[in-house]
Amino acid sequence: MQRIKIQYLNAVNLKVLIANDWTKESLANTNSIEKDIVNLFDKTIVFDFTDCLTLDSAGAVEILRIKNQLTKDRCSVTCVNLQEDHAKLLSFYEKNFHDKPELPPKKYISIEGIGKWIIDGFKGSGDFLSFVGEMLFALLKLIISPWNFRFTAFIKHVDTSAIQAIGIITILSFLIGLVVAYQSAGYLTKIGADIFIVDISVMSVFRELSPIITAILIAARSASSFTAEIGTMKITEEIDAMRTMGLDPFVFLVIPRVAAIIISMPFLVFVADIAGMAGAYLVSHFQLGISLNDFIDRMYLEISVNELYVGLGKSPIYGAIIGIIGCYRGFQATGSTHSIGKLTTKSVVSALFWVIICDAIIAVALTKLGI
Amino acid sequence: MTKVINVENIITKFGNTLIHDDLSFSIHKGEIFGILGGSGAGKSTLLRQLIMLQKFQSGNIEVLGESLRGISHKSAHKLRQKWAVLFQFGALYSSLTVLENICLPLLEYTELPKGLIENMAMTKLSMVGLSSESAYLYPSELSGGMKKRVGLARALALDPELLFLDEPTSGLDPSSAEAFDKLIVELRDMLGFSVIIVTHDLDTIKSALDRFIVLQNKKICFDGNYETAINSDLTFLKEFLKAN
Repeated sequence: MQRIKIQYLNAVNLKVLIANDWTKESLANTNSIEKDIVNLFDKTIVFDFTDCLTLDSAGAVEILRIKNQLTKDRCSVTCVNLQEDHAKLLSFYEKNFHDKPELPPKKYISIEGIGKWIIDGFKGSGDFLSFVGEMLFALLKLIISPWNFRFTAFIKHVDTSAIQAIGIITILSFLIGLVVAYQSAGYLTKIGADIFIVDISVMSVFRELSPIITAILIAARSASSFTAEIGTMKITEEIDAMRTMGLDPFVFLVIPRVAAIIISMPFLVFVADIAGMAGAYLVSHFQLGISLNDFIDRMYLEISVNELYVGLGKSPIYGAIIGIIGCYRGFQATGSTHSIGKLTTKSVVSALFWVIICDAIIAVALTKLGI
Repeated sequence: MTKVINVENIITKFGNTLIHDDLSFSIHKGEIFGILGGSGAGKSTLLRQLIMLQKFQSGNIEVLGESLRGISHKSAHKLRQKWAVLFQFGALYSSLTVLENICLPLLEYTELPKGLIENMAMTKLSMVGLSSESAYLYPSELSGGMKKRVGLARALALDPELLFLDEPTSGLDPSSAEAFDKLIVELRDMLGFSVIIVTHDLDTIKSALDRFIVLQNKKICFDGNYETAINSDLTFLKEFLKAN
């Protein structure tokens, strides 16, 4: 079906017959501006709509595009013989016809960009410090008047963040203990040092693996949920509502969450320790034939209780990192729901990042101190 | 006059709570039709049922000659391209710019060349009264009224036969609300679609609606235009139109 026919009346005057359907369907897969028409310059052109059957917004805009292009090429264009409703439609769309505006310039990595990135980084750490400051201030207020502590919220968060995580932490720690023992068993039998399996697995589980596995799981479960919860509250103006009612969001939202994680972390790590031991014992028993008594004796005699204390002792620090970062990212939410997704990702990644940095620092410090 | 929507004996229940008890009405082509009622009267539920977002327990709804009861996936899909919905807060896709939001239905449902689509989108954007500077803004950078206008431009993208508006003027200042009502009437006159509005804005009721129904006590307590409503002796109706 031909939609456009060009008739030359003379060298400068020509007639363009607009025919058939000009709709979304009929214009599908066409090259937008018909080729033979765009190469006309300095002509007087009449668009004749006598044979035009249907016209919708796509057709109208297409005709306007052609007309626009021709006008740019110094042609004068008039439309004739339109049906009444087509004329109405066309003039309505013509009134509103617009080209796409220029794209705003894209940002490339430039010296300016690098500088901005660094300054934003500093600003970000400033924001974080002021967040921690506000939190400590709220803590101070709570120490002075402890009856303001939101105990119900605290218990609720202990339940959702810690108690509900016990299952998965137990399973994973059990498997980790089992794997560590299993991997070492082969080498230890080779050098005839079977019983050292207890030292290796107990030390690595107590000191390093349990706290880290627990921190990873809690960061994944709770840092993300804190950010999403608080971020949503920020966007729906709940936090502003609290502030106007004189309720401190730090007392209501932040302290109970952070406290819940800090306090439950050692317990979770302890559970993880037991599960890890169970895994290690299972391998020692079936792979190397070490009895439960031997296993416990060896542990009792050779391994200092400090190993346990170190693992339990550093876990509240990890808990604080996870809780504070989770809440801080939540408070950063602005405007759209889109930002919450981004912030949740950021909060989990930075929580894990800082947990592991902190772990490294503690490891070096404790070695220097000889603990 | 052709009926674009015909609702027959709709009964809706949420669990044991009855929401609609035997509603019947019809909407004609080219009409601006209002669904009114107090808060919690089931207006929005009714709208959601008309646009197949919610099921009804008994009765039948016919939209553009297609019965929604037991509708096949294919005809439902076709039907959805013939209507457009403007949600209360615009429901713009927050990850896309204004221009991309308006282009989306055209890109998905037509095979038109990209340049034409963008031109169409820009034209529709100007039709709803927004300048071309807003084309590359994200929804989070727009005011409430602008969001609604962009939502309307997106709704108009595919030249719908039916336009559903959920409280289009709520949250707008009186002059913007008036402008929005005018815009709807103007577009209807120009493009000839039918409009179904859920509202309780008295100015909209007065100036834009051709006809409306009022829901009360799970039933339709009034079906007619503003003049008849004002002159009727239903006390509830008078209170409703005065109080709003």
